[in-house]
This record gives sequence, C-alpha cells and structure tokens, in this order.
Amino acid sequence: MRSLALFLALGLALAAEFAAFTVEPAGDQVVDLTTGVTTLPSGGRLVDAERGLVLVADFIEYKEGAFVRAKKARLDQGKVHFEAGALDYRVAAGRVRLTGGVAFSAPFLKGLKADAGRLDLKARVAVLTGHVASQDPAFTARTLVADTRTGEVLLLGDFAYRDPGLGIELTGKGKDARLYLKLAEGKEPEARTAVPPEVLRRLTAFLKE
Amino acid sequence: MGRALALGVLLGLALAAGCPSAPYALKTPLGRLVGAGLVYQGGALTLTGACLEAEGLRFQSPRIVYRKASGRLSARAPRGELRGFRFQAKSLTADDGRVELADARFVRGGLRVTARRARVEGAAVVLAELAARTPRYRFTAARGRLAGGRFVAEGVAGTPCRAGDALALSGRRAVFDVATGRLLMEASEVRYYGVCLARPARLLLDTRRPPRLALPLRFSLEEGLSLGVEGLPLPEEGVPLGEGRTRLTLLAEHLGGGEAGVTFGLAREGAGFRMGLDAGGGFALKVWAPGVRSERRADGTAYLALAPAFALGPLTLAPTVATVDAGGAYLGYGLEARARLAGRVGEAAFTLAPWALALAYPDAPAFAGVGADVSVAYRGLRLRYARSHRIGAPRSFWEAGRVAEVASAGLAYGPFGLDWYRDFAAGWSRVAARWQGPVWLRLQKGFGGQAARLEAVLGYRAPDPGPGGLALSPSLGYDFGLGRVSRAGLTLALADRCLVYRLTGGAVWAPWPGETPGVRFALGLSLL
Repeated sequence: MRSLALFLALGLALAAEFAAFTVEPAGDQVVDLTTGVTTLPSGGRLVDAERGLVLVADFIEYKEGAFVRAKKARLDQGKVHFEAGALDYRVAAGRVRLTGGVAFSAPFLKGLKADAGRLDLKARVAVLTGHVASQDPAFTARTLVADTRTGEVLLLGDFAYRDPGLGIELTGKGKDARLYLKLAEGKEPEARTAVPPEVLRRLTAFLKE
Repeated sequence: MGRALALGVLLGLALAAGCPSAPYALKTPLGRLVGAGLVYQGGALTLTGACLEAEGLRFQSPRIVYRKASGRLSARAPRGELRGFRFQAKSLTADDGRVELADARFVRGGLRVTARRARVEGAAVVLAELAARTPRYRFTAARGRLAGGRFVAEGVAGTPCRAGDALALSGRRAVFDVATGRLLMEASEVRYYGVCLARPARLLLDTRRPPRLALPLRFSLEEGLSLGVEGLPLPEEGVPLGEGRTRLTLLAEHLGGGEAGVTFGLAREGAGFRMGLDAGGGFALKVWAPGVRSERRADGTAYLALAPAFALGPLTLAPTVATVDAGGAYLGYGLEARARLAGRVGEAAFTLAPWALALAYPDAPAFAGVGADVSVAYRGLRLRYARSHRIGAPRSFWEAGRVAEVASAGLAYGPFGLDWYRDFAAGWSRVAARWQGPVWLRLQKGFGGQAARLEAVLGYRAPDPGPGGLALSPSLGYDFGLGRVSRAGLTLALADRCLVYRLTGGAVWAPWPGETPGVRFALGLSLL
C-alpha cells in the first residue's frame, strides 16, 4: 500500500546538515517524510564526510544512512574521480553501482571509460566492466579491477595494452587472459601477465556482486 | 624514437606464419611477438615462452627482454628460421638497427654453419669466425654471408677428411649453392700433407658426395715393365673435382722386354683418340666419335668408317662409308642397322639387340653380317646368348671383330654364385662356383682346348683399416691340372687419418683364355 506522503517544496536552495551528509541543492529539495527520501530534482552537491565522498549530480535522491541515487553524477573520493550516467550508493555496505556510461580518473590513471562499474568505498576498489578503455596508460579491456589506494590494476579477459614509448601493443585473448599493472603517478607503469596470487585473490574477490 | 626503431628492426617486418599460438601477443606497427607471459618492470620488458615472427625471421626463445633505456632487445637461446636457414644461437640482440647473434648455428639442406658472431644485414646474414660442414666436407672461414639460398665465405679452408686435414683445400672465396650442394672455390689450392698439388682458379666440389679420388695408376710386368695412368680425369671448370669428363691415358709399355712403346690418349663423352708409338717405329692410332670410327694398327692395317647414326624408335640406322687398308685398299659403302628392345614382365627383365651390317666393296667381294644378343634376368638368374652369321670374308679387323657365338648363365643366391660361359667358336667353356665373404673361394672348371683345367682360388678380403691401420687381402690360386700355383694376389690397404691407400698386385702364371700372364699392380685411393 502506498504510504501517505507529504511533499514539502522549498523554493530556495538551502544547505542542510545531516549526521553524515552535507547537501547543497542546486534547486528544489523535496523531502518525503513518510519514507525519509530526499530528492534534489535539479541536482546539487552531496558530501559524505565520513567516507570523504563528494557527489555532484544533475539529479540526486537519497535517504540518510541508506542510499544515494544520482543521475549525471560525478563522484570524487580524494584524488579519485568517477562520472556516471546513473549512480546507486548503498551507504551501509559502502558500495556504489555505476551505470549508463562511466568515466574514471586517478593520479595514476587518466581518461578511463567503461559501460558500467562498481565501487567498494571501504576497500577503495573499483570494478569496471564493458568496453573498458583508458587513455593514459592506453589500454582496452573487458573488465578492470583497480585498487585506488595502491595503484594496482588488473585487466581481465580480452585486453590490449599500448605503450607508445616502447612502440608496442600487448594483447591478451580469451577469458583467462589477464594483465596486472602497478601504476603510480609520474612513474613508469609496471606490467606482468603472471599476476601475484595474493593480488589475484584479493582483487578478483570484488568481482562477486 | 630511436628505441622504437631498434625494436622495429627486429619486429618491423611483415608477418610470416610460423609461431605457435600463445595467450599474449605484442604488436608493433610492423611486427608481432607472442608469448606465454610478460613482465614490464624497471624499464625492462620481458616476454617468456616467446616467439617472434617477421619476414625472413622467425624464432622461439624462452626469454626475450627489451630494455627501454638502451633500446636493446635480447633473446636467450633463440631457435627458428632466419633468411631461409634454420638457426639456433646462444643469444640474439637488436640494438641501434642491428640484429646480431652469438654462437649461432645455421642449417639448410646438407649445410651446417656455425659462427661465433652473425649479423643481419638486409636480406643477408653476415658471419664471422665460422665453421661449416657438409655431408662430406668440413670448412672454416674468416667471414661469410648467408643470402638467397647461398653461402658465400672468404678465406676458406676445407677438407674432405673425417679427421685431420691430410688432404686440404683452401680458397680466397667460396660460393655454396644450397639447392645443388655444389661449392665453387675461387683462387683455390689443393694440398696433400702441406704440399701443393694444384692451384685451380675455380674448383668445383659436390659437397654431398666424397670427392672422386681417381688415381688410375697402372704398373705391370708383362713382357717388360709397363707403367702410367689410364683414364685419369683431367680438371675441368664447372665440373666437381675428380669428375672431369676428359680422360687422359699415358702409358709406357713393355720397357725392357717385348716391343717397347708409348701410348697416349684422350677421351671425352663418346669421342677420343688413342695413339701408340713403339720402338720399332710402328704407329697405331684409334679415333672414335659419334658417326666416326677409325683405327690404324701398328702392322699398317687400317680402316676409317663414317657412319652417322639415325634413330627411329628402338631402331638405329647408320649409313656407312668405309675405307679399309688391309692387304689392299678398299672403299666400301653400306648400311648398319641396330636395335635394342628391352622389356620387363613381373620380376623378369629381357633385352634383345639384333644387328645387321652390309658393306659393298666395288673392288672386292661384299661383306654382310647379321647377329643378335639376347639376355634374360630373373632375380638372381641371368642368361645370355649372342650369335652372328657372316656372309663373305671380312675386309678388316673391324668387321671380323664381332662375336661369333657365345652363351653364358649365372645364378646368385646370397653369397653363393654359379656361372657358366661358353665360346662356341673357340670351342671352350667354363663353369665357376664362388663363395663371397670375408673369406672367398672360386672354383673354375674349364672344358675344351687349353681351357680344360680345374682351378681353385682362395682369398681373404679384409675390411677397411681404421685410421693409421693396415689391412692385407691376399689370394692364391692353384691349378689342379698343372699341379702348381696358377695365380696370386695381394691388396695392401694402408690408412692415415684421412685416406686409405690401396696397392693391389696380381700375378697370373696360368691364364684363362682372354687373360694375359704377368704381374700387374694398381694403386687405389679412397677416403676413410
């Protein structure tokens, strides 16, 4: 049964303080008192201070301590940035689902795009799937797992990795193909096809939903 | 840029098929590497279980490393194909546009080349400090090149010897054609124990066969001393060593006994001449060529026949014009017809060779002859019968010299053999039984005239001696009819580290028809 809802429309953009979130609406802010869901139909800026998250989106819908949903969103966690057509942040689990086209950048990785992605905000690990393509370093992959704290990146399935400096392109074929990259800002990338077992175990664990 | 170019020299060639499939591939704008695993760390790219494909180059290596800073690519123990040669090496490096191999070995056809260093230059591989081996020769050279199925070396020294270099060849330059196995040495020198035997400007060797060490020395004590060479192949440009088609005969005969004389002759592919001059002023000459036969004997008898042959299938027709000078000079003309029919039914083979000759002499009675030679072979059995009929008196020894009627049969079964021969015109025949093995025995029983006798010959054929060894092969014949030794023979085979020298001596005291008594020696030479 549809619960009774009370909508309060506020004509001014007001900043609201919550236990964890700081919200700066770009326009209206609609609060459904029956469900506790707040909607920013014109988007705005949402900060999760606890996890160091800053979300800027054209549309935001959130429930304190439960979820944040956003469209045309940009999510920053420190020097790591994500953009997505749609974002679904499960606050308790600390997980974010990105869909509708994803862009990702970090000090060690620039210009990465994919069809979709998932973030584990506690572990700071991102999983990107579908048409994964990065500009620097230049590679394409079917699936990518990145530990944003260590700069470790795992490419899985068919991939192609280009190094213009070396003048080479490395490709891996088949579902078992994999490439382990150790990236750091301002440093030569390290790459190996034989992934250290500990790294493989740790990063592939995030492939499970 | 330079580094990418260095890598590109190796990789930067159009792809060629050959590498097995591998999970990882490295692609450059122009080339491709595949491998089982890759590590890029510290500016070094390492590919394990790797294979490289490029035009004219393909190799597998357990480990290929490319160092970004130096732009140097190195492969450990590469093994594959380079410019059409199979190769393996201790290492391969590509640096500043140069591809080099260390301790490389190249194989193609019967040629194996090892080089301390090898460098790829365009379509060629340049070698240094190299050694080469073919089925029958070993070579060393200061420098060499592999290109287009050819191996060109400079400063070449070689030998056909399995060990040592008692027989040594050297040349300023050598060109080896892999397809034919022929090696042409330029400005060469042939040495025997360091003594220069010849300095041919161009020496051709067939490296797939041992050189033919023809040494047809003859030495006999028949009516005096005879010695010389008979059928010695003369060196010839474009023909492998020892296989010259022009053969020399030079014999001094019957020195100190009988009619001493000198014989000199040259022969080449069905044509030649042989002339003899004896101490009494007698002169003999024999000339032969396709369509021409001529002979003059020391007694003054001679003939000259011009008989160009025309083949009509198995039939050969030879219109003949002949001049005969034997107790009078005659000019004759006529026709000779010859045929050779050969066939095979199952394991049986037969040949039939009939002939007919008719010569008209306007100033003398005509001569005609007809004959045939039939032979049949079936496994170890051979049968032959030849017979001719003559009409009119032969005008020359040429006409008279044709077989009248002979028959022979032979049976071979393993080491055992049985032979029968009969000369109907001469009225004698012979049956021989033989056993062939290291120890061999021949029993011959003759019937009719001087051939009516029984002879047994027992011999031992020693295997070739090893390096530095000696082997003796003696034989002795006994005539039971005469009650004395009929013949004796001994072959002395002496080997150094390279060659086997054979001195064969034979003495015949009781000859069979067709044999001449006396003592003869021959020298033979072969490679160990």
